[in-house]
Amino acid sequence: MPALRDYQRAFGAALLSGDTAIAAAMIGASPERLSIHRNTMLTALANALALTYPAVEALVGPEFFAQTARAFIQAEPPRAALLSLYGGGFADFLAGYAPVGALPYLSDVARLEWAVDRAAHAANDGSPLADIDLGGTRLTLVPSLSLIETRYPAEPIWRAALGADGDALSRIDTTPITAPLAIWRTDDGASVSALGAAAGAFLTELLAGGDAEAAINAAASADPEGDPIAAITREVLPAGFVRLSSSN
Amino acid sequence: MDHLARLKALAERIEPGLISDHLSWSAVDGVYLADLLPLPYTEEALAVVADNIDRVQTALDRTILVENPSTYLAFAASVIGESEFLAELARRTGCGILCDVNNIYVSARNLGTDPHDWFPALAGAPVAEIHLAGHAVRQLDDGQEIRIDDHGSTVDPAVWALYAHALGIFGPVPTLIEWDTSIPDFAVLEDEAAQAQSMLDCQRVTEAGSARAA
Repeated sequence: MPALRDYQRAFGAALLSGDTAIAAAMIGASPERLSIHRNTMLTALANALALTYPAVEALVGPEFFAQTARAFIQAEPPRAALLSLYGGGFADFLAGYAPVGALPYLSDVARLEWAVDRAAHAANDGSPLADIDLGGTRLTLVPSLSLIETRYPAEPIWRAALGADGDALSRIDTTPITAPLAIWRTDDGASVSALGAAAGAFLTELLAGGDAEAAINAAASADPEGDPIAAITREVLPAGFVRLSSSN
Repeated sequence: MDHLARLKALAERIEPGLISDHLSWSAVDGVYLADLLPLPYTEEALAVVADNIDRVQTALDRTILVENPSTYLAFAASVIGESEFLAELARRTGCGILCDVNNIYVSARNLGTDPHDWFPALAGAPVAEIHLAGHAVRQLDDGQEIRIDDHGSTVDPAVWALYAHALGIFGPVPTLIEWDTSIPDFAVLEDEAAQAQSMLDCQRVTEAGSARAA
C-alpha cells in the first residue's frame, strides 16, 4: 500500500498537470472524480488572479483571462500558504505567453496591478522609506511606496481598462515609452502616479538609500536638459506619497 | 512567519469562540493546491492528522473542532469509516467535532452509502457545531450524478431531514447555515435561519420532556 505522502504527491501532480489517470488508478477512483478537485483548485486560483489583475481581465475578456490564468497556474502553482501573495510572476509569464503576443503592453499592465495589490496590502505603520533634509525641510516617503518602470503607457491603459472606457482605450498611443510609476497605499486602496524621468530617478535613488545630494544628482543625470530642482518641486514634493515637515 | 504562528496571532487578535478546520489536506512538497483534498482513512493518516491537531491545539492553547469534508471519491486503501476516523481523532487529541450535515449527505450520495450510517460512531462524541448548506447536482460524462458542496442554494429537503436526525443524536447543537455564492435576498436567509431555530427549539422541548419523564 502506498504511503500517505505518495498519495499526496500523485494527487498534487494530477491536479496540476490534468493527467489524472495515474493518481486515479492509485486511489482506485475514476479520473473524472479527481477532476472535480482540479476544477475547484483552478477556479479558486483563477478567481484570485482575476481579483489581483482586473485590468488585464478587462483587456482580454473573462474567458480568455480564465484560460490564461489556468496556463499560469500550471506553470507557477502557489508556493506560499497566503493566497494574497499568489500571482507575482504573472507579468513575466504574460511577457513570454505567445497567445497575448499581440498585446505587448499587457505584461506592463500586470506589473502595475501587482504593485497596486502589494501597496493595498501594505502595513500602515511601517517605517518611512527615506528620511532626508532638503534645506530645512524634512522629507520622508510613505512605507508602502514602490516604483516600477514600464516600457509601454501602462498607467493610462490601466485606468481606461478599469473604467471600462473603450473610447479612452482606443485613443491611447501604445508606442513604447519608458515611464516611471509611483504606487502607494491610500485610505481606500492604492494610488498610481506617472512621473517624469528626473522625478523617477530622484525617488529611485532615495529608495536605494541615497542621500539628498545623490538623489538630486541622479535626477540631473536622468534629464540633462531639464531643471532637476524644478522637476522635484513640481512632481515629488506635493505628491501623496511624500511627507514634509520642518527639520528644526 | 509560518501558518500556525499567523493563526495564533489572528486568534489572539479576534478571540473567536471556536476555531475549526476540515479533515483534509491542501499542500504537498511546498505547493498549495487551494482545495480541501481527501485523505485515505488509514492508520497512518490517523496518526499524522492526530499529530497535526496536537500541534495546533498546543500552539493555540485551546481545543479546535474538526469538520467532515464533502467527498467526491473514496480511496480503495481506506480501512476506517470517516465518522470512526473523526471519533478516534477526538479520543486521541481531545478535539471537538464540527458536523457538516450537508457534507454527510453529499458524500453519502456521491459514494453510494446511506447517510444515516455516518452517525452511530459519533454518538456521545463532543459535537460542538453543526453546518448546513446547499449543494449543486451535476452529471459526470459517464452519466453518474455527482453532488458538489458549493454553498450556492437553499438547504436541500433531504438535508433538513438529516439535520433532524442529527439533532436527535447530538442534541440542540449551535448551527450555522453556509452561503458562499449566489447569495439570495435576506428574506430567504431569514427563513432558513428560522427553520433551523424551530428545529433546535423542538429538540430542546423533546429533551426537556424526556428529562421529566425520566
